[in-house]
Amino acid sequence: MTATPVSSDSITDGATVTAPGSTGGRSADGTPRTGAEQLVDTLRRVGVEHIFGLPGGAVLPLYDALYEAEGIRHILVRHEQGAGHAAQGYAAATGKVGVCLATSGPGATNLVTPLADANMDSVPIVAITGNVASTAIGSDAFQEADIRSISMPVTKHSFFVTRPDEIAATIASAFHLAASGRPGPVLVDITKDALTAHATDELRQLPMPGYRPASVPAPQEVRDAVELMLTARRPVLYVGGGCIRAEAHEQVRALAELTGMPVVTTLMARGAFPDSHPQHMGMPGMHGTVSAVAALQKSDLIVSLGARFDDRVTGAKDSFAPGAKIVHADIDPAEIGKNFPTEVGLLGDARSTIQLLITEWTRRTAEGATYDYAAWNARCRGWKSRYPLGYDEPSDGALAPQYVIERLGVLAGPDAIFASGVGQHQMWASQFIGYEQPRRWLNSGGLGTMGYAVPAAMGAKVAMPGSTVWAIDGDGCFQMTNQELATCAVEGIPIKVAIINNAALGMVKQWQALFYSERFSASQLPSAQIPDFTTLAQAYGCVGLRCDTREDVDRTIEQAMAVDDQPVVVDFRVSKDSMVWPMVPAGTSNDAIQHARDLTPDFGEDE
Amino acid sequence: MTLLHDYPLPDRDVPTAPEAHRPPTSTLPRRSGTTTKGTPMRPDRNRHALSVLVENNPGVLARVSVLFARRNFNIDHLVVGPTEDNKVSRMTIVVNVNAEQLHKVTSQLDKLVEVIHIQELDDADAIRTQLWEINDNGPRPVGAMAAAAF
Ligand SMILES: Cc1ncc(C[n+]2csc(CCOP(=O)(O)OP(=O)(O)O)c2C)c(N)n1
Ligand SMILES: [Mg+2]
Repeated sequence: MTATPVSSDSITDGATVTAPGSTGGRSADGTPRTGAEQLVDTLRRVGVEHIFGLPGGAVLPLYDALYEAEGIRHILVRHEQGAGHAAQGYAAATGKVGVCLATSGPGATNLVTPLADANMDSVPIVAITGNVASTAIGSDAFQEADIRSISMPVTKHSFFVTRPDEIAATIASAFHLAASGRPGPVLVDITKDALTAHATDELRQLPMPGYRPASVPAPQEVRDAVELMLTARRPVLYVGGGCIRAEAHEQVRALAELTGMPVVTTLMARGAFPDSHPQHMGMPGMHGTVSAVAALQKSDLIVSLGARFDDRVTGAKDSFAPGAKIVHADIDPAEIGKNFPTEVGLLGDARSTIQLLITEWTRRTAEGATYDYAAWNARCRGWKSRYPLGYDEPSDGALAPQYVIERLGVLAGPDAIFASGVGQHQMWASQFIGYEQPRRWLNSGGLGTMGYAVPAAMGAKVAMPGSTVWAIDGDGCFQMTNQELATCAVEGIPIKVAIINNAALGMVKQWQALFYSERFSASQLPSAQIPDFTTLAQAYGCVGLRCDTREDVDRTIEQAMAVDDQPVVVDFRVSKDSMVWPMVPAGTSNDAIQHARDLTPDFGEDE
Repeated sequence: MTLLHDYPLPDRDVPTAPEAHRPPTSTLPRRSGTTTKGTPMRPDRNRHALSVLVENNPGVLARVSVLFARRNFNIDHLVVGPTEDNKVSRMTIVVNVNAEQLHKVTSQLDKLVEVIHIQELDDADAIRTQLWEINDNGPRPVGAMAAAAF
């Protein structure tokens, strides 16, 4: 702990006042403003253009203030979970704070999943909920739920506001919290009477003396990190989602090319470094490439940039990268050393941290410092060429899901945005689409939320109306949140959905096939019959297409691409039995990776 | 709740509570002046005491305890009280964890927006002894209650 004693009068405002304050309690013509009106004014001031929400009794005053509010478009969703994931997709595609809005009780509890999801994946969103009047709080009033407490473990912070005067400052602070430091979800729960009462509003921003996000690492740490990098023989840049959130992709590339180190990008960082780059070893982890897993496993130095050593990446902890020292750069001090002992911790924003590493590396090498990764790089390239990603055509002649996804990537091009659900299709979408740019790959990595894809794609399309947005969804996932297709059709949000329909909760089925003697307990779905996805799509006002054969894949995708005034849903009926490979079986060592069923790669002799 | 009188005898066999948790004489709440204490104090190098300054907001105690629960840390003792500044409260928290775990939990705690300052206090054992004295009152945990506690 670096803490030193403080007296209470030395406790000062720890928040950087970047978010604008409030309106002063009065409109331009001097009439007093209600809490709800102040809330809308504050949203406008912090730059909100879109809100995803669904009204109810407790937020009626706010909806009244939003009615015809200029500059803010409210998009009426069909389920609050959809509003939450839409806000996430909006934020993940742009870096702006996404906003969702729900009423008290069930409206608020329906937001819990997206809040938890955003918390795991560090997505900046603000959730605003109404609550019953402050006089009724604690009485088990109709639609009362203590969402502030419910959301505590799954948000960066949660506020409960009962006084109209505090609304503007709290909302401004919520946006500041969501976007600064390690981004995350912030909830603001406001009682109905605070929304209706007139505000005098003296607060401009909450003090938040305890909030001090890290900025840049100490110079000594940067020097130590570069020293380790220079002396390493087998280093690897382990790039995580923090590099996307911090807009550090250019710095990542510059550091990689300057040092010549191999790079791996995690599921959350796909696109932070171009897939086509020769130094790119792929995605590490349970379904990562052999080259990425081997590069980490055999390294002597892991330079972690905005990644968090998740168990899906490390496999069994005691045998993860046994020869590696760790340099860990993260904006969150609690991440450094959380899972593995760290040689050097670099506390700060990924972008500025990498920039400092670049400067120090350049200085050292200009002074004559040398390094030698040649043998190591040759070894990495060997793994990459010997064990490329691939798949077998299904023996029953059915359509290969990997082929569909591969073609989607090629035909939609590197500018398209892909949002995926959770399961086999997610892994294939990460593996078989080449990501060249950041913010083109949106998925639920940490929480693994089925149902993320359709609403997240909707949010991304609202934020980036000029981009093609594909949801790559499973037949299971799709059925969790497809109601938002109605929103898309009605509100003119022409997303495209590719359902990778394997008539199964495929990832579950794969585990049962591998580890439970093919006892397919509750993992098969009748998705070839029920529901009929094409007519379901049509019922929602979307174009519905179906494709069962390899010959039809390109034509169907092109047909879907040709529609741009309506959402399109394509039911790709694929093989029921395809599996995701490579795979590190859960709980085992990364060394046990299989690049295909029962095939373990040969990593070769250590130096 | 029936905590104000003796617990009824359990009607079936329950595991016997460790001796330490047996009341020395009766199960009635101890009156002041009693000297026997339930548990002897043993020094423990895995015992740490933290003094945490927090914003004096409603819900802040819940937030801190949710964090301990979520990160799977057990709180040994917890006291909350005011400071000279009515916007700031102080929590004294005793936890039984090793130094590495302590570092992890304090870095998580430090991230809470309402946590202003954390400091480790020197004599955790002495603090725990005092907290035990204050807290060691009321009915004794016997029978089913003690069993449930182990
Ligand atoms: C909300 C939720 N419930 C359950 C799971 C567990 N789970 C993970 S993948 C999966 C199967 C998903 O099926 P589908 O959408 O058809 O994708 P596939 O694996 O077949 O590509 C399930 C049930 C989850 N991740 N999220
Ligand atoms: Mg499926």
